[in-house]
Amino acid sequence: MLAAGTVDRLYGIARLILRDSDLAEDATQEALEDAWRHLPTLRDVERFDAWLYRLVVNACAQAGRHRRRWRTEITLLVTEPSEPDHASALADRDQLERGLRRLTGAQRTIIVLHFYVDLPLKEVAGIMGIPVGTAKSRLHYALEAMRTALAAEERSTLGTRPGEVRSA
Amino acid sequence: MNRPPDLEQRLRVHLAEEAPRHASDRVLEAALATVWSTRQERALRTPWRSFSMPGTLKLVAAPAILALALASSGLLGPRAADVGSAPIPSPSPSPSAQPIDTTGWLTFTSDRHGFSLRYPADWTTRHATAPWVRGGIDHDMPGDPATDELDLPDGGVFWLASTALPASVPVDQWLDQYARANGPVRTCWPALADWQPIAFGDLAGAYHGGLAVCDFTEAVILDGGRAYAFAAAGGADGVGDLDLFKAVLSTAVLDPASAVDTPAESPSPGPASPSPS
Repeated sequence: MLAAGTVDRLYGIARLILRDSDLAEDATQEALEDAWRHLPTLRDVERFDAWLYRLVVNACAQAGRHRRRWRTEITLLVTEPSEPDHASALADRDQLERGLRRLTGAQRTIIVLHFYVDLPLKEVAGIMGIPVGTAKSRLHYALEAMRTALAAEERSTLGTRPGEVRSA
Repeated sequence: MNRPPDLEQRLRVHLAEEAPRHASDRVLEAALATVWSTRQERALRTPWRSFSMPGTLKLVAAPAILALALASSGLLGPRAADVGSAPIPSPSPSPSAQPIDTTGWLTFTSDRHGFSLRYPADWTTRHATAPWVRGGIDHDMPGDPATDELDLPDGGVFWLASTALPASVPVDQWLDQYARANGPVRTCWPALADWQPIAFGDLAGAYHGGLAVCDFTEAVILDGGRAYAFAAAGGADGVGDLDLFKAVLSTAVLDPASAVDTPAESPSPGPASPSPS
C-alpha cells in the first residue's frame, strides 16, 4: 500500500493544493497514517485510489487551517516585485501560480483533482463530499476567479512595466 | 483583454509541470515508520493470540483497551484477569522470536523505587540514590541518580524508576502529560492511546518504541498510587532489544508500598547483592 509511487502521488496532490512543501509533507503523512489505520475498513477495493485522494484532501483541509504560515507565504508572494520578464512561458507560469494562490483551498482542490489528477467532476464531487452540482459551480467560479485575476494582473503589468514608454 | 482563451489547458500543463515528482525522504521515512508504529482498526475486532509476528504485534488494538483503562481509576494496574469486559490482552511472545532463557538470571531489587526484577547475570547494575521526578525519557540519561540502571554488555541501558502520583492531578491527565513530555514528534513519541500492552509480571502496562529510528523503548505502569517507568535504549540493535525488554519486564514484581520518595536518605543504600534466582 505504501509504495513510493503512492506516497509521491499523494504528496504531489497535497503540494499543488497547499502550495507549501512543509504543509504538504505533513498532510501526506497524515493521509498515510489515516490510510494505514483505516485500511481494513475499506470495503470496495476498486475505490482505493478515490479513498486515498479523499484522505489527502481532508488532510490538506486540516493543514490549510494552520493559517499563520499560510498567510505569511501568500504575503511574501504578493509583495514580490514583478520581473520585467519577456519570456512568455515564464510569465505565464508565474501568472498562473499567482492566480492559483489567490484561490481558496476548496477551489484549488477541485482544480487539482480535475485538471491534474484528471478525475471527472462526478468523482471529484465524491472525493470532496459535495454534490456534483456544487462541484461544477465551484469549478466554474474558480476558473472565473483565475481569469479575472490573470486579466487584472496583466493590465497592471502592462501599465507598470519598468522602462516601458507609454504612448500618449 | 481575455488573456487565456485556453485556461483549462494551461492549467493542465502548469499543474503537471509544477507537481513534485517525488516526496522528500522525510515523508517516505515517516510513512514507513507509520506502518510500524500505528495500529489498524481491524485489530479492535481481532483476537490477540492471532497476531504472532513481531511487527504485527505493534498493530493490534491495545490503544482502545488502554484508553478504556485510562478512563477509569486504577488504570494500567489491574491484574489481567480482573479487567472484566475489556480484557487487557496478554502480550504473547512471538513464535518467530527465540525464547529468552532466564535461567541463571539475577534479581535486582530497588528499595527506592519499589520493585524487583530479574536480569541476565552479565549485566551490571547501579541503584538510584535520589527520588525520580517525572519527566520524559531525556530526563533519564545514563548516570541519572534518580534512576536505577542496568547496563548491558553490548552498550544497551535499562532505566527504571517510579514516582508517587500527585493527588492533585487526575491519573489520566498525568499519563497524558507524561506521554507528551518530549514534544510532538509523533513517530517516537506517540499519543498515549497508541501505546501497546506489555506485561509487568502479572500486571498489564503499556509501552511504545521498538523502532530503530527512535532508538529506545519505554514502558509505563501504574500501581498502588505510583507510576513506574522503564526504558531501554542503545545496544547492538539500537532499540534496546524489544524481546529482551519484554522478557525482563515480565519478571517484574512491583511493591509500591516500599518505595521511598524522600530526597535525602541516610545512609544511601548500597548496591544490593544480586541473588541468583
